[in-house]
Amino acid sequence: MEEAIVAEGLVKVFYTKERKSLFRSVKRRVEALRGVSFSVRRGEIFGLLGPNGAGKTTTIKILSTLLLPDAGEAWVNGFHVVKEASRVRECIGVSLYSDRGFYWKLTGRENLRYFAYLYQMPRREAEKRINEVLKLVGLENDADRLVEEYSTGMKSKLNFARALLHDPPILFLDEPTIGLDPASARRVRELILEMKRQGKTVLLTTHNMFEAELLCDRVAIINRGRIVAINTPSELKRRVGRNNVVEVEALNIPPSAAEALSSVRGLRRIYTRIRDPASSMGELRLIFEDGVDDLGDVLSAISRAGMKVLSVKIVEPTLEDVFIELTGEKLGES
Amino acid sequence: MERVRRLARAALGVYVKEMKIWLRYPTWIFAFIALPYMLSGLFNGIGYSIAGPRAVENFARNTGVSNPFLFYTLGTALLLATEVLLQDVAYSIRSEQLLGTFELHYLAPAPTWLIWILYLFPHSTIMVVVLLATTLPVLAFSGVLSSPIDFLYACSVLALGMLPLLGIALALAALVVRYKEPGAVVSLVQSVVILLSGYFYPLTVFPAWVSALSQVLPTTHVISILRSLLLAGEGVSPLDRRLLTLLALAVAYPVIGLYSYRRWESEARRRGELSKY
Ligand SMILES: Nc1ncnc2c1ncn2[C@@H]1O[C@H](COP(=O)(O)OP(=O)(O)O)[C@@H](O)[C@H]1O
Ligand SMILES: [Mg+2]
Repeated sequence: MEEAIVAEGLVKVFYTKERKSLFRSVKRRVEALRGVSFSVRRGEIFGLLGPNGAGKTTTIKILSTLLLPDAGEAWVNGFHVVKEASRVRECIGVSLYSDRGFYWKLTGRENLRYFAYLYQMPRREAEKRINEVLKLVGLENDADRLVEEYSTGMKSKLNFARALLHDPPILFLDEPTIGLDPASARRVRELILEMKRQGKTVLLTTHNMFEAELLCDRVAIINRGRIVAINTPSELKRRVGRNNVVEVEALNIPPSAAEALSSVRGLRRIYTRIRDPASSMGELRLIFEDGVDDLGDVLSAISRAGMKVLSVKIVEPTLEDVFIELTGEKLGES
Repeated sequence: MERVRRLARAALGVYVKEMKIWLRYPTWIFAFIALPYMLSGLFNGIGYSIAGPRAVENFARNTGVSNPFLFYTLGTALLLATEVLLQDVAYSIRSEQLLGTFELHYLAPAPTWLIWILYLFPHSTIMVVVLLATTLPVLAFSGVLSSPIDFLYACSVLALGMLPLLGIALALAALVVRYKEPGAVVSLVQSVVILLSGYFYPLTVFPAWVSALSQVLPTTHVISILRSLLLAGEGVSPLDRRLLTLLALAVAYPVIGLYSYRRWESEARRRGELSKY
């Protein structure tokens, strides 16, 4: 079978309560997934990119058999995630959160050993594999300390090691670098690329567009439970077009900046990011319809709106521009 | 066969892990060693204060047993075993939920309800060792342990009586999967079982309808058989009514417990409850 993962029309609705006070609550229906379909080829790194609440974790949980879909179907390694759940479990390694999910009073090695036994690995094979993965993630020197003494970075490495224990051909990584310091995040990204070199298929989620661009062969952009585009990062960016994006650094950006400029001709979208709230300093990101011929008009409109321009650059589009282009919404700070 | 061998590996993993964790939080052991004697002392004290000097005489007349200390030590040993068995699965699941490891068990191929039941073995090992260490000397000293066959028979009755409790434990575990915090319900069930099993008094002290109700509890029959065997020195036929009832409960309760656990488990997978705590 060519495809490692296939999802067809996955739908998931949660019913929750909004707590208004101790005794009063209002029922609420959350449509986490509204028909998510995609497929992941063997040996590729596939990214689900989307803002918080888009449905990334929900998708990963359905694919890893932890959650039952309301509608739709999915196959992992050729096995059906509902009907052949235990076969699916044998061929996936999953990392859901890196700061929880350990036994504090056991060492890193003992934690791994426990999960190896849960995976029913024979003892000798388990010990050998534990040493291998500890070495791979760079924890061999801290393996025999209690996990309660581990730093966040060490825990995330241990979490990665656990996902690799039974040497699964397919990996699901939910926000693998979230909350990590830059060095640990870089290490985790290197590990993900190493997994690809070993021939594994990786499905990861992230809300960090740079990470998606850096790691992924293909990216699915997901928003509000729907996939809005799937392609390679460079193809996705081609949609916005080269030479169409201008970044203007300015002072005194009002909250209404985008509206003030919305009537200018030739401008398709505009969004702002405030860097320093005290002086309202930040960037305006301008996406033009077709080339930047109308830049002069836009700059005078910016001045008229009371902003002071510090610098103007034509830049490469990013995946965030693509996201905004496709959804009209911001991806959020990453 | 291969399947059994693979499950045995999972069992070993649970066993080693739990033993290590217990030994790294070592204080509970004092409670276990002291409790049977302390409770026995407590009940004797209460008894004397209520019944005065005629207490022992009354006791012998009501129970048919002449040694109250022995009676209470056996009762307390059973009480401890009951408590641990009823709460262990529920509390183990609860602590895994809080650690964030609960959901991870669902990523492994072994059936999870079995894993949770396996938690009983490490905990029971410690409990059995401690209980035997505390009660055996008393039993031996009092001369009631006449034949090793009787003792083995008593042990198997005990084991059989624990099976239905396992069913109740699984039903409680189902509640934890659903409602999370198990404390209140578990204590309630424990209190009912302990009150109605007659660990510390003959059930004849209650109105008839209470004793009738107590017949659905496995522990009522266990303690009654153990007293016949160990304290009164009577034989118990394998066709004894109490033994047959116990056998029926040992089949029915685990089936009900397993059913309710698996039902809530799939409900939890549908609602996305596995990761909640
Ligand atoms: N177990 C749950 N119960 C209720 N609502 C949930 C549950 N899990 C997720 N949701 C809701 O579903 C939506 C999608 O969540 P999620 O998949 O976690 O998003 P992401 O991982 O992309 O940030 C959110 O609105 C979230 O609040
Ligand atoms: Mg998420």
